[in-house]
Amino acid sequence: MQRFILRRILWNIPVLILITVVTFGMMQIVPGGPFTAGSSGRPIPPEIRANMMAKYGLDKPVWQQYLNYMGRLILHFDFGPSLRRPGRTVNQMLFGGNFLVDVLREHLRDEFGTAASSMTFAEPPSIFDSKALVVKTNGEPVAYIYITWRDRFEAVKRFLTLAPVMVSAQVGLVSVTLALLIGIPLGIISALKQNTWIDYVAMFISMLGVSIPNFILGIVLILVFALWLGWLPTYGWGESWKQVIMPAITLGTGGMAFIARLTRASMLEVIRADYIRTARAKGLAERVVVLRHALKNSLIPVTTVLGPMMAAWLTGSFLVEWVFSIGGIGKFFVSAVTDRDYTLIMGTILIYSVALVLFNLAVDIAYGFIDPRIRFD
Amino acid sequence: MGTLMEIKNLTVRFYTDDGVVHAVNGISYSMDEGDTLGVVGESGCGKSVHALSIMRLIPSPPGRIEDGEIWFNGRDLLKVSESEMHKVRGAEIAMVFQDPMTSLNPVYTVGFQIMEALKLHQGMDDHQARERAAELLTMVGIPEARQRLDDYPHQFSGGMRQRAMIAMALSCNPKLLIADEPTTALDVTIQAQIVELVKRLQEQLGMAVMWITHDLGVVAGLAKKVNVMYAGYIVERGNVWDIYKRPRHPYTQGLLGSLPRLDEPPGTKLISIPGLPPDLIDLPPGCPFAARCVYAIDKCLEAMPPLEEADGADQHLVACWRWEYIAGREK
Repeated sequence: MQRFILRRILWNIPVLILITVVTFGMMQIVPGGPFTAGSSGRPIPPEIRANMMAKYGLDKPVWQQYLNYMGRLILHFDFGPSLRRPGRTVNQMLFGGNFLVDVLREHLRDEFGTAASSMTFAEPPSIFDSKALVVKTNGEPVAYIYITWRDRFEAVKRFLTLAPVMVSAQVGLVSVTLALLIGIPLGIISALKQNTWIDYVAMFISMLGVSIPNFILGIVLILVFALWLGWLPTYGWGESWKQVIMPAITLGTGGMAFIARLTRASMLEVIRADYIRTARAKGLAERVVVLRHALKNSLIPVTTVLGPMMAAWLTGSFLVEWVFSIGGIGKFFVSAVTDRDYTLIMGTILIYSVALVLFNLAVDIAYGFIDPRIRFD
Repeated sequence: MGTLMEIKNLTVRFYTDDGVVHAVNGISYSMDEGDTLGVVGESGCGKSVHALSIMRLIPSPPGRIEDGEIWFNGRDLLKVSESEMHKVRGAEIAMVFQDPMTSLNPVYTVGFQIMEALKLHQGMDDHQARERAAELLTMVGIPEARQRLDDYPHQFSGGMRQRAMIAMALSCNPKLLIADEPTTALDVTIQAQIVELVKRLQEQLGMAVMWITHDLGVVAGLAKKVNVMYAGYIVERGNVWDIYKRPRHPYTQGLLGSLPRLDEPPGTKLISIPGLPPDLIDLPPGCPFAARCVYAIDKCLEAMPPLEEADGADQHLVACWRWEYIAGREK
């Protein structure tokens, strides 16, 4: 089992590297570049463009740009500066930057008051360091600040709650959970009550769920529950449980409907299987037959789709984050490409690829638990 | 020995999109305790459906038990509640199915599946159930039973799975074991082993066995009584000796005639029954076999003959208007 997991992880490293090569190459092939047009849409004069290209190293040969990028990424986990948002790094945009800096700055402010605003750190602190050197803006050292376990914990907590990538993951996780919690029982019930009105209603609902585009659903939800009824806030994330409901429904409905149909189809097949008849012949109550003997078998196809689905949902949804003004990374998947923001494109693609690899691995491990016929070695 | 089960006028139909399938058409018979009954007939004659009806396991919808009584241990199984039925299934009546490759749940260990019934019906705890399951596997001839409990069905061969199925069925000492073509999917040597196993276990445990098959050879070696079924009817019933020696129904005669025999000279042609069994959706009013029967007269096409005593022999029953004529012709 451990060997299987290790082997799979190792196998995925060349896959990820290949993805970076292909993405990097394709970005260059696509017409236009980050500095073709200014933010106003007017063309940037060639001299200025040449300067900007030189500043970001885009004047170098593509292979050299690639090696530079990969070097920084692997050695420093640095995704580089955003090409279209001056002064912002891709790390900030995706991961919210270095939360430990914020935590330590608060300590400095407690210590030095307003003078703290003219201080900075000699090197970006990391949670693996025990102390950080505080310097003035002119480089003159001030003091060491020691990093406590509480600081590390606080930084991690802020990352998990505030980082855009984690906000997207939260939205996705809630939506997947909702989709599973409703989709699977719905599928089971309609399979058990096949061709009755319960089945028809459930399948009608899931047909609606599959067909309605989620931005329409989101806007209708806002209209009804926020504007007319006034029960739920129209936007935001992370401040109140009320903010969770509508985004989760908006993102989760499509998948819920899909899972319900999948569960129903697979349940219908399993419930007719010989071993289900055996279980009934044993005298087991119908509830036990369904929950113990049929469910586990019927979840195998659901598990299969769960890998790509979670990878897609947990890396953020452009539409849901846009409709509900949620500060996740979903919007970058679209804007990075339209802006030709090369570094941001690489960042988003890598996050998605890693998520895909990890969730598919998780699915493969889950198979092993569900179906003993699938061997790991 | 007392009567274990008495079936009266059991009628089962399936309501399908194509029409009503008359799967079992008012069959009646009884079984004694410790008896061995062979139920023979070709595919679709209702032998499996009637067995599943005893367990109340026919898929419903589309299946429905229209009429009849199944008296077992002093109560009519068709009248008792579903929860009462849970106590019958697996405990008083157990069943072994045709295809051992698909009859065990692939995602649970063999041991778990055997222990399940023990815990349910005998109130055993995990430890006791495990001990008993190991005993059962040993009893059905699986070596190193204790280790094999933790194996999954895919780690068992076909014959071993059927042994495990038998162990599971016998786990709660049922009074009746229904074996629904348990050897059909197995190769011949394994078939013989399974037949021997069931024979031995029956002697040991004293339960009644209903062996459903289309293999007349298996029945001859195992059963005391035989029901011959055709198109949802019992067309002939009797002691195995009478049935094989003096078959009275032309269908039974046809079945036996189609078997190769060792005591006939080589080159003897096998007799086949012309035609096909009738469509159960559109059953003719008379004897369902009439269309294929060389002895059929007008009466056969008009009314189904009752199951009545033939030859005055003990409990040899036949449903044929012409059995006396046919018997007379043979002499």
